Amino acid sequence: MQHSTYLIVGAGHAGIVAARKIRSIRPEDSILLIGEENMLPYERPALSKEVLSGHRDVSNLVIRSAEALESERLDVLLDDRVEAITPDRKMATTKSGRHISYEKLLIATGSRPRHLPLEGLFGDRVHYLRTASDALRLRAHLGPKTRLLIIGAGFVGLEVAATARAHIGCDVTVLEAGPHILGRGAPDALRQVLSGLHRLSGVNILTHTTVAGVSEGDGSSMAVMTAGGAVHTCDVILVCIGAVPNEELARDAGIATDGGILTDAFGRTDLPDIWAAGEVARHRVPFLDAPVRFESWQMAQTQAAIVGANIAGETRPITYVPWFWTDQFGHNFQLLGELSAQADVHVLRGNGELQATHFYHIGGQLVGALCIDDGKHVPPIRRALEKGQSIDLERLSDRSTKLAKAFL
Amino acid sequence: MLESANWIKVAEVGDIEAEEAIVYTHGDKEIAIFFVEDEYFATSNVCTHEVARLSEGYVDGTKIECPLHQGVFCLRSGKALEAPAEQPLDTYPVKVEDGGIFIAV
Ligand SMILES: Cc1cc2nc3c(=O)[nH]c(=O)nc-3n(C[C@H](O)[C@H](O)[C@H](O)COP(=O)(O)OP(=O)(O)OC[C@H]3O[C@@H](n4cnc5c(N)ncnc54)[C@H](O)[C@@H]3O)c2cc1C
Ligand code: FES
Repeated sequence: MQHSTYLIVGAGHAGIVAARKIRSIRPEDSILLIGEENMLPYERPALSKEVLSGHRDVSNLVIRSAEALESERLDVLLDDRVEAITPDRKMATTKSGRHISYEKLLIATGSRPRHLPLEGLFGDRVHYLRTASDALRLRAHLGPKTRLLIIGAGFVGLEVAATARAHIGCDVTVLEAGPHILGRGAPDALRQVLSGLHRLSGVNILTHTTVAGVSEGDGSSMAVMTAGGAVHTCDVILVCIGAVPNEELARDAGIATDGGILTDAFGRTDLPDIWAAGEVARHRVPFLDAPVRFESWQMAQTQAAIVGANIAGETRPITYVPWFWTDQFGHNFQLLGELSAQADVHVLRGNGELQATHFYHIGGQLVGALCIDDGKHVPPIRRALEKGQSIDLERLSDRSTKLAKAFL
Repeated sequence: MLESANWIKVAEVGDIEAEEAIVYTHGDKEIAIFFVEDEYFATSNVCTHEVARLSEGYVDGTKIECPLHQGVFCLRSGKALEAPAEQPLDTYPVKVEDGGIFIAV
């Protein structure tokens, strides 16, 4: 049996961030990451954007090169899957039959796309997007005039729609079952701007539209039937109806899960010496009553670094100002804090076409912001939110005032 | 060594406001010249993560935060300090002489 002091299940973004953090605190201990994919830990955001458009090579997404990992003495086992954890014996078993014992275990298994029951029926014409190989496979099926039908108008679906339309020249239709794009959490202002951009560039987004079935069409095309009786003919289907946390491994080991692996404010699960980080973790944070699970880069970076420090012996509560970005049609959108529909919104426009910062206040208190092509405002707002500062709206009306000076 | 370098005048003292940058294009290189705490720093203007202009970023002491995904670099050394930035920025020597700001490329 192999032994590693620290064992990390999931060699993704959160896994490598936590591993490096542990290394910085524990220079001597052995650290092993096990990952199911055949690529060294990499960042996913570009998959629906620059990778799909052909502007970035997937090898360029790798966070640490093999040489860098070796020099940091981080061992990575790829192309193998942890199938079982035996907490009593502090042991993990992999698909290839390896048994690995550990002192401390971190589960950073991320999530996977929610599936529609279409598998096998339409071969390689139905796609999902989570991994680098998914992105390359999708790209290989898209060309000018390809009729791409995207099911689900969440962030990933819209990013792909934008890329496929603007960079590849596909004919893109997006079907969304809900009343509007981006589900419940997103602010109205963002929905409006994005809907406008998609419409202008010719992406056909249909809300209130549920898929009832898919059948073979003429040639290699497929016919997608909606509940309302409409038929959409397409060449490629991309299903983007959300993600499911990879929590089964933990659940089967007796760890508490509830739409994500439940952790306390430090990243600990309910079993001793087992921790969870990244997108799979439903963790406690000081600013909300219920435990949360966010699907964002920040979870793999900021949250995983804190949990990594804690596994290595520190005691830092997990906290951050929630932050998410999306890039579509050459525009950058950043969401900070809580963008509640109940908030009063004050907009500070810039000189760029769409450039603006939307400040969200509740009872005079700044709770969040939406920055459109206005990333320069993100750091001072993040700091103000961390400190609970408000802004002097009077002083803000003049854009030349440095934002930091308008915080009270 | 620097004496023989190609010093180019890019601006007059006073042209760059505190914690702001100007952009100078040299051949196919875009260079940002920042003015921070009475010092000038010149770096490549394009983020090493994806394509964003650091002159439009946020200056915090001697650090610059990228406006696109908030990667952070040291203006003095060019070192990437916070993810998603990993690769360093090119940096260029700067000198002030006779009221002019010069960079060596
Ligand atoms: C297409 C796309 C675009 C995105 N764009 C943005 C964006 O613009 N902005 C933003 O903020 N966020 C974005 N995100 C979200 C962000 O990339 C994720 O939140 C982040 O990757 C989560 O990191 P993670 O390490 O928790 O999970 P992952 O990166 O998914 O890593 C988990 C790894 O664990 C492996 N694994 C799972 N189970 C096992 C097992 N039993 N044994 C071994 N290995 C296992 C998986 O194969 C995977 O490699 C995007 C995500 C996607 C998919
Ligand atoms: S482009 Fe600068 S951090 Fe991404």
